[in-house]
Amino acid sequence: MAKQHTSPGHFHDKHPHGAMFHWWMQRITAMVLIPLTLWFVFSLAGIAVMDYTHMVAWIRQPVVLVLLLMLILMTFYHIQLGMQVIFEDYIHGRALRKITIWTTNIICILGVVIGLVALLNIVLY
Amino acid sequence: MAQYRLPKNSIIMPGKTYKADGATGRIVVFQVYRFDPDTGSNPRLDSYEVDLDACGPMVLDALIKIKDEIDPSLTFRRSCREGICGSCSMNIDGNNTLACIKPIAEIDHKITIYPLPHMSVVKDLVPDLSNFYAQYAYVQPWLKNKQPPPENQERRQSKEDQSKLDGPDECILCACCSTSCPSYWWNSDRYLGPAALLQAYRWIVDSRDDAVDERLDALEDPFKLYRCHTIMNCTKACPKGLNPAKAIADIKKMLVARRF
Repeated sequence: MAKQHTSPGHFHDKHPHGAMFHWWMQRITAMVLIPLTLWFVFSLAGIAVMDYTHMVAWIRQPVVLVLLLMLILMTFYHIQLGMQVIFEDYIHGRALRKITIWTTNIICILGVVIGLVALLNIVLY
Repeated sequence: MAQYRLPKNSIIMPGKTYKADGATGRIVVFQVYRFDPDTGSNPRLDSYEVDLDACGPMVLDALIKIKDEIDPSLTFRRSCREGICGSCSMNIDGNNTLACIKPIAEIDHKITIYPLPHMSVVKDLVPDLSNFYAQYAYVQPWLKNKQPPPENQERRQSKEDQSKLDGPDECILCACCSTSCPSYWWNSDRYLGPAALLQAYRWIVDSRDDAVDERLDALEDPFKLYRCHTIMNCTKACPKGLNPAKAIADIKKMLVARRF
């Protein structure tokens, strides 16, 4: 198996600070998600009566709503950042790598949109 | 696309066994990877029985004894025999290290010796390091300073500044760290690897060098630097006890810090 000896200088990121920003955002979303996820799990566990009216009342509190919005955004952003790194690590074909990364991007954007619409739906109607 | 099978010629076949006839002392079996590209046959694992009473204490002593007395066709790199040249790096008993400073007595069973992992093999224990050296060249490992040095004098440096180089400047480029890194195995065509990045760091923190931004720019790339996922095999493997993983983490922090 002959390995290529390309000069490592041939590859350049299109965005000048994209790589640094990607890495930094991965750390920030990870740090923010630790308390957010814990808050979400313990809040759900702490709700005495689990029915629709109680859940709606809980979600309609401003602080809860903002935290839920953040949870949705941060979770899908973190998924997108992490999956991209995994695909870049293991998929060496350029076309397939682009397809998998963009499929993940679309799924994550859809996830955020569905989450936001669901929350608005509960809060507004 | 992902490869699910190893190439046919990478399957290691059983090899010959060389008995230590007439040995009087303790005998240790060395299983050594053999590959000769000229024969076109698969690599094989040859076994050599070595009489420890008639052999030096290090793994390299045993390899030299095998080459001198048992099988002159065995091929490996070696030079200084005291851990300063970095030539005899190989995979001994599952770990990348220098054969010359690895005591045979530390391994209490038969000793397996392979070339550095995931590198093209030139012959037997000799890997092709051309790409590794190209990566070292990429970080431009020399002093860059637009000011000329003071006349008839060297560029002075405080003891504190000098101490930042203690460690990083002891690297002997043996490639034990880079070839122990899974990220380097999968992406060595684009990821610079811990050895080159440790050397990039060595020049970034040098108080006499004024090309810090230029050096950081050259590393700010999703593949060249950020394929490091802090696995830390590099630090575990380094036979000189250096810490490439920490140097890489510091580079990542500097890249963020210079934006604020």
